[in-house]
Amino acid sequence: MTEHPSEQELQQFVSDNSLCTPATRSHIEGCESCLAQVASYRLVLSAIRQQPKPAFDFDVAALVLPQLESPRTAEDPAIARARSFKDRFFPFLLAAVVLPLTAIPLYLLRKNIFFLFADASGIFIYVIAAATLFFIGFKITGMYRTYQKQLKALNYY
Amino acid sequence: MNQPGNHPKDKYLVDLVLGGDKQAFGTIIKNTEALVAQIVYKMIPNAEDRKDLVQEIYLKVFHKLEGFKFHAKLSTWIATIAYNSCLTWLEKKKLVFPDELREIADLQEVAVERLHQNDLSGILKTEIERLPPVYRTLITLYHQEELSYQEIAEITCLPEGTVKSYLFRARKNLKDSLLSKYKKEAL
Repeated sequence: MTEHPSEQELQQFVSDNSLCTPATRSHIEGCESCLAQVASYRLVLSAIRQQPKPAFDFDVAALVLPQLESPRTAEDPAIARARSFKDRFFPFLLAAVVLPLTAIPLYLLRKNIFFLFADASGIFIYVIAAATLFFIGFKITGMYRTYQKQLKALNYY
Repeated sequence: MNQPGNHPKDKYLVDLVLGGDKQAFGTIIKNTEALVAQIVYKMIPNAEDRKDLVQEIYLKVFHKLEGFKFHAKLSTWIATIAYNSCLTWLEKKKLVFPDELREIADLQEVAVERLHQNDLSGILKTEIERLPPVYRTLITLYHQEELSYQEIAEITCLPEGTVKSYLFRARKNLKDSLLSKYKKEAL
């Protein structure tokens, strides 16, 4: 192996060199420049591990416990079971009602649906398609902006 | 279903809290505050903000505890709430972070850097503090708390591949900074 290994391979060598290919291992072990990089990585990792662990300089429990509401009463198991059943199966029940209500009329009127659009002018179809595309584009832009905002918040200083 | 890594005592403690035992919640706080501190300290620079935030985090945990189904470890679930609360906090602060405060923070950073620049751990400490909060948090959770990629992905709601790639970049960044500092000093 004549080329230097990638940064990823160097990091792998530092974390677990048995995962490297024999060629990579022998290159690193015989290359002064790569060994210097490996030594730097080792220094970095050992310094991270040696950083003192932060601890709150106040008693968290003493601060939080007085703010808790009066003791919570345990929920009646029968009510909890009913609630859990409702939470778990509600989307399926909703789908079971909505899907037939939509699919059956569509199936029964399938021949007429074609005529519904056959009479529509090109402009009408264009307006509908453009509005739909605009709405989808608007939603995607909104999601992208939110994502960018969150990323900026992560890098704010 | 109880997650395999979950301590049986966690289930017992959660049941006690749901049954009205506030002291049991105190025990949950004691068991998890070290991990929460790692996240909060790495993401929030201001000490006063941290104090408010940690209260907010544990109050959220208390109110949401009823909905915790043990699909993850209790500590991982609490860490997720801590991480998300920090993100929301950062987002809010970004909107009101005045330039003067930013300048003061920069000056303090330079002063700290000058104090530490003579020793290796000082250099690295400064460089770690310079990383974006999410990188700092990932580095700490992986290398100090020794959490798995999967646990970190759960806490940060990032895909495992992204966690690995952020960690790779953070380590490379630190290594490059270290080498460039040494080169400067050699010159």
